[in-house]
Amino acid sequence: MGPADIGITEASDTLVQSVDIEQKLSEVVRQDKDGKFAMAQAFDPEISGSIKVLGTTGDAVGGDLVTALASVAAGVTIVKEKTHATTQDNFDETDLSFVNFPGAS
Amino acid sequence: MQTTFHIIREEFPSANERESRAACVASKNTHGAAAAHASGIGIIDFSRTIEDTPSGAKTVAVREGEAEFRPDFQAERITTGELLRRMRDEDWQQANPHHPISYMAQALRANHSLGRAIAEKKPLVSFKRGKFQALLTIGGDKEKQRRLLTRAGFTPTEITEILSAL
Repeated sequence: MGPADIGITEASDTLVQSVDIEQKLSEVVRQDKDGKFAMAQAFDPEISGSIKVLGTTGDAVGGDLVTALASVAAGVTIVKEKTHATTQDNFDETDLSFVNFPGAS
Repeated sequence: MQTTFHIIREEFPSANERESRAACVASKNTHGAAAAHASGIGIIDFSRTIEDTPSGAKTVAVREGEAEFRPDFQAERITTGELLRRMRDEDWQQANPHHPISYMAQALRANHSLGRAIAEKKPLVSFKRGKFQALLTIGGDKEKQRRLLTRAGFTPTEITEILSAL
């Protein structure tokens, strides 16, 4: 019964080529008890970005793409688009665009 | 194509690889990922990396999903012997899948399985050069690794040193 054992997948060599990220912060401007504006509070940070990963073996979303993503996108991450191509010099190149919510659970 | 998952990354600043690996296994986030697995939510992948500072990090990615709990049991008092019997009796657990003892048994099995897998999986070793980060497997294909390190701009001498250390 219950879920299957957790198997070990082989790690694969990975090169993170480029990372582009843009951080957005929602801001709330509060008023203090005298009706004056208090300090703005930043919350719910959101990071939009893309990452280009080079590997020597094919990969799906997951695998060591996750390790590559983790350095910039730990938290809840939505991978919006993924393209995969073989370069002229025979590397597997994966482009991922993502939105990341580092404070979400 | 859109995929949502939770990436849990933890750093373990220990100079000792064995200590760092043990901390990865013992972490509460490892327990959490194991509980997700026991609840039917897939673990996409996990890895350990060896880095300069801190010395180690662990990543676990868990698919976004929903777990359903339907507790279905009568309040009861049982003896130690009965508790131990139910914990090892998979037929009993199958007949009582929503009993807390079945939850505990599955979660403990999943935690053991994930902990073993994390400890046994070969770590990736991180090498940074400018905007590039190479994550290389210990004992991996040296020729492929040489190509990646060359692309990242490491010199032939540096590459030879790195590959001899892997």
